[in-house]
Amino acid sequence: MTEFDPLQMTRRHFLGSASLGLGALGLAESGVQAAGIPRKAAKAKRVIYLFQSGGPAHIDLYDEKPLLRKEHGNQLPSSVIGRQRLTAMSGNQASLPMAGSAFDFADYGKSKMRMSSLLPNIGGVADDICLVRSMWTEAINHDPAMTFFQTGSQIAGRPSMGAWVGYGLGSMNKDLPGFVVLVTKGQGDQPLYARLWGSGFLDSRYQGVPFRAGKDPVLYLKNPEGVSATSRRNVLDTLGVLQRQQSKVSSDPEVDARLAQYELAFRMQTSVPEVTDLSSEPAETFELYGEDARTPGTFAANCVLARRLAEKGVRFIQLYHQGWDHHGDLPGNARYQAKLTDKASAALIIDLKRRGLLDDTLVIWGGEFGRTAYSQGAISKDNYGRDHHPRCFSLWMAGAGMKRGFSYGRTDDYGYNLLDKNGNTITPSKDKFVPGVVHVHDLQATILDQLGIDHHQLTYRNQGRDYRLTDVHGHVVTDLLS
Amino acid sequence: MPHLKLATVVLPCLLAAGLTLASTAADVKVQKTPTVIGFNKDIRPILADNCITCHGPDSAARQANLRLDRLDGLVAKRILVPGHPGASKLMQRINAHGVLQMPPASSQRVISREQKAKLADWIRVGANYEPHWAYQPIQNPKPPKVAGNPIDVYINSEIAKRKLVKSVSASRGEWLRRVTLDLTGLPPSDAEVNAFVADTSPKAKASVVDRLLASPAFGEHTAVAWLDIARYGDSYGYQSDQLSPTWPFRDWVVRAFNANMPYDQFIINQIAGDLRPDATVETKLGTTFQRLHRMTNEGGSVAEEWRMEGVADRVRTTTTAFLGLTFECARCHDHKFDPIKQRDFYALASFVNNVDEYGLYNQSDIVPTPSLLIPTLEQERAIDRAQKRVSALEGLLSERQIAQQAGNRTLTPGRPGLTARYRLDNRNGTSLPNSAPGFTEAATAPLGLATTKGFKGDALQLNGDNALSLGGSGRIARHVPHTVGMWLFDERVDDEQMVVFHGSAGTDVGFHGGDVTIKAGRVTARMYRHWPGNAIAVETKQRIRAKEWTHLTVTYDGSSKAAGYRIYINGVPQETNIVRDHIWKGTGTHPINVGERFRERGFRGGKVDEIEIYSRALTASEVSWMSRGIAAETPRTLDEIAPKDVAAYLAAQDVSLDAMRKELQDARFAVAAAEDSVREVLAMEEMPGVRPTYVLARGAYDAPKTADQLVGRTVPAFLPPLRASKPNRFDLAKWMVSKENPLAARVAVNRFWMQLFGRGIVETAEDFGVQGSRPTHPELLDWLASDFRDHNWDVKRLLKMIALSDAYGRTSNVSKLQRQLDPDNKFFARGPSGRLSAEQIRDVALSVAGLLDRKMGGPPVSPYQPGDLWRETNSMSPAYRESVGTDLYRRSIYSVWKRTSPMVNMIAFDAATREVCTARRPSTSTPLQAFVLMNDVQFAEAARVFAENVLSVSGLEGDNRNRLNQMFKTATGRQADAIELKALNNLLDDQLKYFAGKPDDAKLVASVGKHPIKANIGRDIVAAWTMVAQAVLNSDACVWKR
Repeated sequence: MTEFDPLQMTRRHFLGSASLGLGALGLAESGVQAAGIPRKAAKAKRVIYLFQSGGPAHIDLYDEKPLLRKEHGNQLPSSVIGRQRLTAMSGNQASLPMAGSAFDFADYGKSKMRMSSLLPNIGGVADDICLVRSMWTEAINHDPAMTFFQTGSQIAGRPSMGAWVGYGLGSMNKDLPGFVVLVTKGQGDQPLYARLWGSGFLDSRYQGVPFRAGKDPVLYLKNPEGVSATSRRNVLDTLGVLQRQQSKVSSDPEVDARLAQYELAFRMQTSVPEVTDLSSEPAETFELYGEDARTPGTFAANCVLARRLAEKGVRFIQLYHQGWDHHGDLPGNARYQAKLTDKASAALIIDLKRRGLLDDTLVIWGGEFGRTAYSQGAISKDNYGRDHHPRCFSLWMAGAGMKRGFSYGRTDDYGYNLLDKNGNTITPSKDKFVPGVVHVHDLQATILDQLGIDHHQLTYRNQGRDYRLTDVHGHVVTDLLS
Repeated sequence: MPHLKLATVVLPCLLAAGLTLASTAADVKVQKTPTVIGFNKDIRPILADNCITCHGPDSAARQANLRLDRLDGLVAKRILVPGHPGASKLMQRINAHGVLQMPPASSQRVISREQKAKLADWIRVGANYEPHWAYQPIQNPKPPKVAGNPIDVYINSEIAKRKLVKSVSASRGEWLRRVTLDLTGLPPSDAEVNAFVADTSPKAKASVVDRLLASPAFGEHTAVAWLDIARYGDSYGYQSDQLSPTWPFRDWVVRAFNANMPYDQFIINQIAGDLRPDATVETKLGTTFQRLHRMTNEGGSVAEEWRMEGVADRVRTTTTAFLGLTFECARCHDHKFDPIKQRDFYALASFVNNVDEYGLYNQSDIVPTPSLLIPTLEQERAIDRAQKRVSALEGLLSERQIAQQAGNRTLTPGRPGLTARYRLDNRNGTSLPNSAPGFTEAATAPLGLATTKGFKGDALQLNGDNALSLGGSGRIARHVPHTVGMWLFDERVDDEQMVVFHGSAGTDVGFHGGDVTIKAGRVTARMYRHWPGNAIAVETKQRIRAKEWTHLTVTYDGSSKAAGYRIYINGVPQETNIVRDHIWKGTGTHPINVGERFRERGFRGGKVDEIEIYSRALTASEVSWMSRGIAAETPRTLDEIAPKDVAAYLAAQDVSLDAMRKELQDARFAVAAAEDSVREVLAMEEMPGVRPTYVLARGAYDAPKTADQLVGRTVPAFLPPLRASKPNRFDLAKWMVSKENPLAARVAVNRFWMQLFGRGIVETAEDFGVQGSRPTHPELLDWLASDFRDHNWDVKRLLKMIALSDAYGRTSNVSKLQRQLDPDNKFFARGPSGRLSAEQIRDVALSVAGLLDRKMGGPPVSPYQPGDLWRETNSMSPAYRESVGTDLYRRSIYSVWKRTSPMVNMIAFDAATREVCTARRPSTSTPLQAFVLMNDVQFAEAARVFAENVLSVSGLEGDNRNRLNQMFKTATGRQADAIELKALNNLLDDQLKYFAGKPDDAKLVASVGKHPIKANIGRDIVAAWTMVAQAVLNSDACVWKR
């Protein structure tokens, strides 16, 4: 760990620093790995991940398919599906009618990036983003797919991406957690689970800290009613005396380490409300992000907060926006979710850019899988639904080290299969890296790479094995890097 | 050819070659000690880290056909030339540069200079190979004949070897607090402290330990770590994460520890408590262990994928829990480090893969099979009574039926019980009239279903995606007799199972009710609460013909038996196979829908016509008439009825029996209702036969299953063989605890050691494999293991012995030298210390405050949470309903554990999420912990009530110093020293002054929480003392074990 982080003060670090040399004998002998993960030049200092939970439909947002519009209502040829599995929701449907998007597409920016009219604001920053149309994943249901995206494994118990980054890089600030989670309030739809920002087999200090909308932005942050800051200060001072006495007797460095946590907590009682209070933002912030941003807990407000946290040096800022699971009435539902997310997503890019933060902040926008080319359930002239589709979908990144105004990867005319560079349909395998397609582990490897970490080297030994975020897979997709 | 010797070699200090530590007296001492290079201790870890991935047990990944984890064959290849490092290819390659370099640069693995030196030294003195220690039989060492606790003999010898200095004994108060926390999870009471300090008898410690082991709190505390291993939770753990009523297992674990169940039985019951010859409900309940893997009910999930996920989790958890091995890796490929083959994983899977289960669950109140019913005596009696009543009524009706045959033989033509006849002609929009006399309930067909030419007049053309709804004209339920007959045309678009009609509820992850399906022409009729384990079902042996009008009738007599179903094709009763024949609890009562079910494969392309529904099971004769289109007025004479049907037919016509029939139906319903109230929990129950189990490439459920991949039930070859001809789970369980198994006893004693010392003799309690830590005291471990085994796996005896050791009783204060030489206290020269666990911290606060409710067991309780965190990010979740009254203050083991949203105030203190097996929790310090202890209403209230109680101690009126003393001692078990007391006193004075001027704030502070306030004490005084109580409750002396 190159940057000192009081949040991460532990026995191991204490011994490593305070009793260097002699302590190291014990450390080496007990097989404890050196805390430092090798680092290389980093383009990104921090990540803001705008996770669009539920599975936004690539065909309606980022990957235009005129053929589907032409064939709207006709049976999707079985040759397109091949041997791919379908979910048990639409797998038994008697027919799988193709569904053309209800939305027009247009060229955006100088790069002429093709995007849906649903996202005019994101279209407005097209020249700043790097759009990948050839993402693919393995999981076909939400829970495993979310868990896979966020922890690199469908099996529970692994650290989340933010926890890995904290473990590898530490935090950059003294008064705030290094990994903050923001969830759009009241959206419903597909659930989120603590494991998505959990620390898995890493220590709990690496887990993400949810900042919630409302008066208690971090659980238990506020003093009990009637307890003033002065009283709390007095209690902490007394606790300090008790701790120092204990420390004298037991000579255990943990006693002091624990006291340091209380002091940090005390500082957080000021720093967290400060950073989460958007009232000091000028009116133009709300013009940029939209009036929604005035309501705490909206996606827009969370985007503003993400920028504020980035300014304060929070390393990993994980937003979740639930609501993209559109099995039915996709046009109406997608229109609504786009309204909630489009303007603020773009505003965040603009805002980071003008503050000079986009150069070292990596922004990611995307969900856990895409949606089918065929309609789930009834289809009509202008209405349809789409089931889960892991085989191809779209996601974009912006900022630190990513190409700008760049579109990457292709899918077939149905938006069902991935194509290689020569336009041939391919069946991707995570064992074999094919330029042009991006597996979830490839994305993770690329994110880590931009943070200056070789994903092979970010390991933690658990149960006798050196675990990685990318398991034994993953390739840095250099095509995406500027 | 040189032979490899199995001996350790003493070397002069060659180890020092690479050490660059600051030279101190202590270091010099260490360096002067002759060093033994052991293969397991020094060499295997280097090879494992750097070489074994490509040159190890994983046959698929193995390069150059070279194995470095087994050295026996290597000498011939001159990989190793004992005595001659320079001639050994191993050294040549690791010292090489460029293409010959090993490990290759691309692997990003580097063997350090020190490690190379060690390897060279090891080869120089003979390259002695030792097999991995944990796979060797447990040695049966005789402890040296020295007076005292044998444990200390081993510990002291190691301390002496390392030139460590033993610490003095902890004070009596410290020891009592330590042992009370370690054995019960709770602090000692003031009275217990006083009594022990006053007890000078030599047996004082022993009697304390006996008292603690006998206390019910022992089982509650000891169970917590086991529940981490068992990945016990109160919810299913995925997506909507519904609650799962598994708490009887939690109580089983508590009971097992309290009753001192021999640990081998503890193991056997959790693997195969259902299969032991003397199985009882109690032993079967142990097998819930095997079913606590998470389950999903997410729409669209593929059941087989999730079933295999569960089976794999059983293997993973069983092997970590009882063998301390990491089988998980071997699910997808041979283990990289340990000699665990991928086949071994599936061979073990085949033991736990033989239960009648579905990979998914549907809803919280339907327990997925197999399950265990745990009736109370009263419930058992009620069910028995209900069943007897059914039998009596069945007997009575049968008698009456026989009497019919002999007596009244007058005939009223007709087929009684007809409730609907849908000819499907005369369609009016979506409505299709019912022509059964006296019934008007029309059927409804959405416009998407077309009318087509039928068997007679019009028919309905089905598409598989829309249902013909028969409304309330028929009812399907376990207790309701019925007949459904129809003409159908099976287009046979493919050979998948299609739903012809059903009366059921649910979603694609699970239905309950009844249905009739066709698969490749075979007709199946089913009634179920949870398919397949809780169901009755029959399947025709003959197939109906494709693309031909066929008459199908299914009759069911309401008996809850497979034999109660009859299937007729073209009026001919069919021979059937019984598919399932055991159903319990209610199925719900459902209307009938034809041709479609939610997200399932409907009767696509098929046609139906002339549907008739009856509220009883028709006789074969009647079905025959129906199929032949013979008028409903048949028969006119008894001769038209087959002789065997006469009695039943006459009885059906006898309206005087209607009341009795209704009574029977009600009685059958009463059986299901009585069963419904019975507690039911996931458990193991062996299916007949052996479900074939295959090695699944990459662990994928849909990997090809070929004869090559089929595995038998075996255990890994590097462990002792399982000697049974057709082994089942019970044989596996017996093997697990057999004397030959080197792992189970070692793994167990190591965990109990950890319970007291905070760290195991093998630090990696979860991994005894090659990559795990080596035991710090191998002989002690083996002695403990063999002694444990030889004394009937007596857990309390083992814990008592550890608790009474000198090593456990030393002060945990650390000297400079100890910290230098042994910072982690691996050699136990000082006493154990550590932060209390999440559960302990809460329980201690509640206990100190006098709030702890000691009620044991039962359904989980829901203590304070800041709002409904369950639903905050999961709108599919059930709501969090905070408990009321004393349930807010139960021990933390009883707090409801929602695996996707576990208690935040517990997770902050490193509690395991219980999503997967966890053998060891980390221990961290974070600011969130400060927030919880200071601001969580649970802890703020504890401080308030603690303050009120201290203020209520009589005899201390006006004596703040003594009250402060009292408070400190209650919380920490010791006296405050002068400095501590002064600090507390200063705080108190400040806060008294402060709150005297802030009556409103004082009122808020002094009334936090739901526990009633002591109104006789001034609120400002309580508030001030609450602040002091917070300081004390947050102090190391309270939150740490010292």
